[in-house]
Amino acid sequence: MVMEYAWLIPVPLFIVFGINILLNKRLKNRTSGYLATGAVAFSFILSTLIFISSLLTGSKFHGSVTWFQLGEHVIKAGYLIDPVSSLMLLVVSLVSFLVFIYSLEFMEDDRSKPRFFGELALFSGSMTGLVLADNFLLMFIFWELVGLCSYLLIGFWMEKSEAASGSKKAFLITRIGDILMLSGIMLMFTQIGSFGFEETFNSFGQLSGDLQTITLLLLFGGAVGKSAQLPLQVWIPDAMVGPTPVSALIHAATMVKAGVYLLARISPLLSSSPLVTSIIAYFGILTALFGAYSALTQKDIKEILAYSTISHIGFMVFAIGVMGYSASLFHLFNHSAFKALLFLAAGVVITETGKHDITKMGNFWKRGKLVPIATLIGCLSLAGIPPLGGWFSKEMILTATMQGGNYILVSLFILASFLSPIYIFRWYSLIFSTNRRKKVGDKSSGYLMVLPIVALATIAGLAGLFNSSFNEWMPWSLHHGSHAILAIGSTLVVLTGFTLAILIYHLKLIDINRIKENTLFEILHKFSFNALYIDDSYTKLGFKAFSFSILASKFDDKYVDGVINAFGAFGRKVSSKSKSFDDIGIDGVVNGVADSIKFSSSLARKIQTGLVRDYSLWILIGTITILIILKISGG
Amino acid sequence: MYFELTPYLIMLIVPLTVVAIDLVINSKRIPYLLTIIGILISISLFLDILLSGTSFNKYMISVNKFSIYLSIIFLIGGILTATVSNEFLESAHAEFYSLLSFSLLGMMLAVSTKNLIMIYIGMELASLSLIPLVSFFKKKEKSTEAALKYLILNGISSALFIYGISLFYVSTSTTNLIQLSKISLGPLSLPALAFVVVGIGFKISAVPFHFWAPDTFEGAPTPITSFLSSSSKKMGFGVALLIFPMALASYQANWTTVFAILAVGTMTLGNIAAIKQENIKRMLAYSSISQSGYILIGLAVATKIGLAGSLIQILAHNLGSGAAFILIGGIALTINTELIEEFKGLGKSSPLIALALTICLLSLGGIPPFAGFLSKFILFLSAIEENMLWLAVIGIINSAISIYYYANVIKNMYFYDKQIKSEISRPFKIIAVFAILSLIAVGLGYDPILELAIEAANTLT
Repeated sequence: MVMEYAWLIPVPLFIVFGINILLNKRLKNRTSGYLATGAVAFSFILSTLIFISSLLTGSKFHGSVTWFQLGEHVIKAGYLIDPVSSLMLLVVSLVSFLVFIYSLEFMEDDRSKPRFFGELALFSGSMTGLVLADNFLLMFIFWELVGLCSYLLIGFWMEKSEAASGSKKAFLITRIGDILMLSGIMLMFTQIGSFGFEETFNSFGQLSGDLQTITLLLLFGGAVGKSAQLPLQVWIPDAMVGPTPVSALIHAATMVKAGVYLLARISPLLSSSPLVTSIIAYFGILTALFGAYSALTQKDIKEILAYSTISHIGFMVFAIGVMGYSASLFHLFNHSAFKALLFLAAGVVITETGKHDITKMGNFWKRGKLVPIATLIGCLSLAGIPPLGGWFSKEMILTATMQGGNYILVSLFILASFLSPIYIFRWYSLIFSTNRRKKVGDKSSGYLMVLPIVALATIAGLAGLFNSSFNEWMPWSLHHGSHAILAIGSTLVVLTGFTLAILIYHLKLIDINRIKENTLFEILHKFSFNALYIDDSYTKLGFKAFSFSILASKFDDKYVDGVINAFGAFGRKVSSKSKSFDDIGIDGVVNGVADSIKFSSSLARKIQTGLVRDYSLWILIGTITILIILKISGG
Repeated sequence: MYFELTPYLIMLIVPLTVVAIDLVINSKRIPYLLTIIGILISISLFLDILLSGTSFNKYMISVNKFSIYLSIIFLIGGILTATVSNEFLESAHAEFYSLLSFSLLGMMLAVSTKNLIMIYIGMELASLSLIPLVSFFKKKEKSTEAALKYLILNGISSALFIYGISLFYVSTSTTNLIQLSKISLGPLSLPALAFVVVGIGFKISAVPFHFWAPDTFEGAPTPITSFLSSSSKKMGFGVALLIFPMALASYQANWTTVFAILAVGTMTLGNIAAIKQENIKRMLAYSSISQSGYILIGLAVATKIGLAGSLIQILAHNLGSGAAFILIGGIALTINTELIEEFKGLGKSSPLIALALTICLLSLGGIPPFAGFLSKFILFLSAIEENMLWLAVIGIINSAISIYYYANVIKNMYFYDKQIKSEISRPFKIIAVFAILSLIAVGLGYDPILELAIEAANTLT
């Protein structure tokens, strides 16, 4: 059975990482790329086989070995193949494979190609490891590794000054989520005594209600950080300084989905806690609205896609919150296809024009039809236009929402899906529309960059066909209710948004500048462009926190510096004296004598002015405090 | 039948031989090779004792799994230092290596006993041998200043420690830890405890007894800084682990709180002060302070898992911090500066060293799959299990803060396009490979190591 060999998927990728990093300079630039692509092709083929066998037989496989022993607890490590993980494996390895091919050309002239492909291979390996893991601890280890790769790859282009700060921000902010998740895992372990998914699901019911809620919220915190949900979404737009293939693979198609994957994994636990699921639903839908709203007015070609990613992951998280698990995963699949496609297309646009600002672009339609048409398919799927995959998954989410019967959520969801077509067709029209008299560059992309885009467009275009068989294959059943009217209504809303975008940005029948004169609109525009000022306020708060830390460390320095000064003077004297003894010369002896007199006087002065007093004071305070604590705590 | 004593004997014979040979042949390589071979033989003898499963408990010496575990850790620290020292030394090689070996012998003795007097003698032998090593570059004023500080403050701490011991002796007429655990200490118990805690607090640089550490660490020759952090500090912890959980078990309620508070203060202050350091050696010195705080968590919890967590964190920090100091020493030798800013472009010019330093820092920051993650994870788990959730939460927050300054170094090494010339010699590369492999092996839960740590912890209670 092919599933038994699933553990092999990440192995070649890790090996390629080792080769690329260690041989670095000795490796030819081309070779490093081919090695990595070969490794990922292997993972892709194996994942596809596993996916097909899971789809056909619906069977599961669980293999594990003893990892280590901790007191009486035996910690195991293993891999788990079920419909959820085999779907994720396919998504990760497929997009990785296409992005690696794309990168062969995209990074052609880069001198540090071995490092790039090495880190990319480490990422893909860790991401498949994350998906395969059968327990929380192993999952967390890979969870951190993918975060690390993301950090290294965002900062890959050292020439850019934003690269370093963007990568650090991404790393530190996702760490907040990671810590919450780690706390949740530890809390669970102390109660259950195991990290394994199966053991946890079996005995989670024994925990008290409050403890269940806290644990689930902590795990959700991990998902919030990794999947860029409110209020930790600020890192994604800054992460866009990384190379475009990295944005496509890590910050659109795979790593940012890890949070959704985690939530889908713990779905058996979520189902029993209505409080937690409704919190998840509200966080998700608000994020979806926030992302879509902020995407409306951005100018950077990649940042619009970044906000769109925030918005769409919001949809997936929301779907988890209304218990539409299979809807969420179907949307995850569709989104991975069309968003990776749009990023790769953006990469083509950026390489050919050398620009990032879409308001300065246009006429791109003229550069050969393949890329524009493929991109159009991606945009249509993102906007949720029937009969593309995006439409089916949104309808599935809507069905799940309707079953919950919460009409606030339904209307918020429809509002958010109304905004999707507007921002994405603004994006598309400004780049590709022929109405503008703008010149395009004369660089053109080769087939290695175009082929992956076409392949993704095919997947995005055809994904909708499989919606019903997908639904049957997933472990959760989603009944199609009789919400035909609402389904039609929501489709009409999306189509209205689509038409509006075409009228404004493509045909220019509605003059956007005239609307802009309206004060209310101006305010809305400002808030959207600055993403509700969330990032700015964090920066200010962060600055305050940082100055606090400086203040706190001054306390330390006050004493340390006093000592340094005193001893510094002392040390200078001693060393200069020993230097003079070393230099056999007349001056040496004279200076030595003079110095030693000066030195003893200054030493005496220092002793009186603080040094020893400070120290004895601290010893005294420390000793007395310890005595008091000993006394009190002894009862 | 005295086979268990041979590793100690080797560490006594080696330095004496080194000095004796130096009288005849003045060579750079002989002391270096002899010391490294001696340490390796000593480690393999310890491993042999472990495999044969014997133990020794006679006179004032007690060789068991705990003492072997810690002795091997000291010896690893010693070998890290010895491997690269020739790159730094200009003269007096024999003195350097013999003092290093004597210091190692002192550390090993301090944890291989059940007697307070022997602990004291071991600690003094270790510290007194270290003082000349700290001031070994007598022409550099920072080195002299560092030694002077270490000398004075070590004196104070030793005085307090032996005063505490004397109070124990006055109350119980014994210095044996096992007998001590059976006798009530009477009215002098709390002052005695307090003095011992303060004495050990200096050695492990717990806040507020840490003031010496950053200056001494910065001023000492870098291999010795590494040794101070990887081994000398760990001796303090070894002594604390030896004394408190067993001999003073009846006072656990008292000292648990003390260690918990010391842990919080040490972790937090060390971290906050490290954030704004621009000199990497000084930053790592503060980081080393905060890492000590985590070890104290296990001592505060004092369950089997907690103590095992402490022992694993001791190992993780020994490897991570010891190797990190060595590596920055190697980098500083070629680029002539210890400023973090000047590390730009290192990722390109010496990829192996940069990778190893990155892994060391990530391990210190508690990122999986490296050793520091596993040890902290076990420590926090043990705290939660003992209903000390607050301690675990503070620890977790601190480990998150620490990422900030570790990431800063990594950022400087990798994310700037700058050409620097750095040709780092082979010994540093050996250390780099060793650090990468060992940190990953421990971090992935390599079973024999964890098992040994847990069994060592079992001998303590």
